Amino acid sequence: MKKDWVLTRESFEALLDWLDPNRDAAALRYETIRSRLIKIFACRGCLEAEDLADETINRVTSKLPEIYTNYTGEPARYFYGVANKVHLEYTRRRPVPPLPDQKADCEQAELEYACLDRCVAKLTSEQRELVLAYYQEEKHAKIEHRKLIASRLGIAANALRIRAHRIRASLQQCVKECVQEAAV
Amino acid sequence: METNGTQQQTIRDYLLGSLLAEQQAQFEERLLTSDQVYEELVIVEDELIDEYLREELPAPERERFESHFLAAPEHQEKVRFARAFTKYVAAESTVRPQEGAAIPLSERETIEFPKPTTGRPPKSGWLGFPPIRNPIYGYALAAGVLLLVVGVSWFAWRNLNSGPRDPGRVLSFVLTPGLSRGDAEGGNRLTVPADTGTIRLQLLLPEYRHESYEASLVDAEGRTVITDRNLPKQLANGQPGVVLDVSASLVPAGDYRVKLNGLNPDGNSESVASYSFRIQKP
Repeated sequence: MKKDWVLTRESFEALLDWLDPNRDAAALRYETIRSRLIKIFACRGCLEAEDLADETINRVTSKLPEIYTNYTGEPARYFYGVANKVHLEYTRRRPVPPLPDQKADCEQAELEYACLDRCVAKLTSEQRELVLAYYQEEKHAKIEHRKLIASRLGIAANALRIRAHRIRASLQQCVKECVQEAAV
Repeated sequence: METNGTQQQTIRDYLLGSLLAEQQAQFEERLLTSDQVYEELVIVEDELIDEYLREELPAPERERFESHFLAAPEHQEKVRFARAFTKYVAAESTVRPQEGAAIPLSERETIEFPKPTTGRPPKSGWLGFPPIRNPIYGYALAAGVLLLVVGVSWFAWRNLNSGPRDPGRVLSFVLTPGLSRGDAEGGNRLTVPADTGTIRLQLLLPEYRHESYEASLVDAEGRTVITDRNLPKQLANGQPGVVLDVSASLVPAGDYRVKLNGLNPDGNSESVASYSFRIQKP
């Protein structure tokens, strides 16, 4: 990528066009690729996963004129190839992780707990009961307990697992937003 | 096509950084293109975190979890949330019965379990335990149960608050290369208090001659305690160096040696330096 290259509205529109001719589908695809690139960088232990994902997207966007004519295949795979290069450069300058601030961590934990209480209150009673029941046991008791819940609901254990996880994920998102609001 | 069990194991290995490079590349391509694989990864991630917080992970996985998985701030954030969530569920389960609510069967269907008379499950329902008609026995039983609940809650609170692997205090030491093991007697002695979570070793170098560095920490018997690659470069007192973080729980009192290798662009590595030190308790 040229050093003076910057992402413009036109180049971003071109990227969306390349991902899908339908604008809504393209936007969804863009978000999907971005979130998965973040996940990949995080799983590789990178400290700046979001920045690295955005850098990958910028580089792909800057190469669009070439890609349009020369590349045939799944766009996600092209992103993946570029992400590997970005990661290689990152490992050469791997930044030092900051030392944890225990006081701030403790305050953050208290705030998150208070937010969690508010977020759980926003769930429907069905969601609340399900998520609390699903996660309450430990070790072997947990397995039997979950089988029991699934059989009462008449669904497969994995369907229950996915359902409980989705509620938990929505809680985590809610807590994240609540903490951000509190920080403003 | 992988079975569910195989796929979950692959994901666990991926999250712990245990896949071979080729397997990792294959898995990441699937992660980018498959919604099912992505959702499964996020679920397994939560399950792994829960096992870690409940101290259910075997020692080698716990070590990989701390050195690899927890390196990413996103994952630290998830662990923080999971800690709060686990605490919340534990607190709620002491006051809520497991049944008595409608649990959704699908978006539109529900199965009705027997409901209590009020919206929120009664917290003092113990007194209405059917076989006990005499109120004196009822109150005695209630007092006993209350003592039990307080005791269990206190125990759970202590466990949850202490945290299985709190990062704890971070102690930083600067190590110079070249000391032999015998030199550790009077040389690099690191006094590590019991509340230390992480020992940060700043390994000094004469100069940066390699693209990246990797280190192995070995104990007095020559057993490898940890190996870490792509060590971050950091100047210490203006001198070049790299940083190796070690969980204090992995290094009881004794003599240790760090073997540092430099990696060349062609992928070959060469020995750069070694650092001997002794861990001692105050």
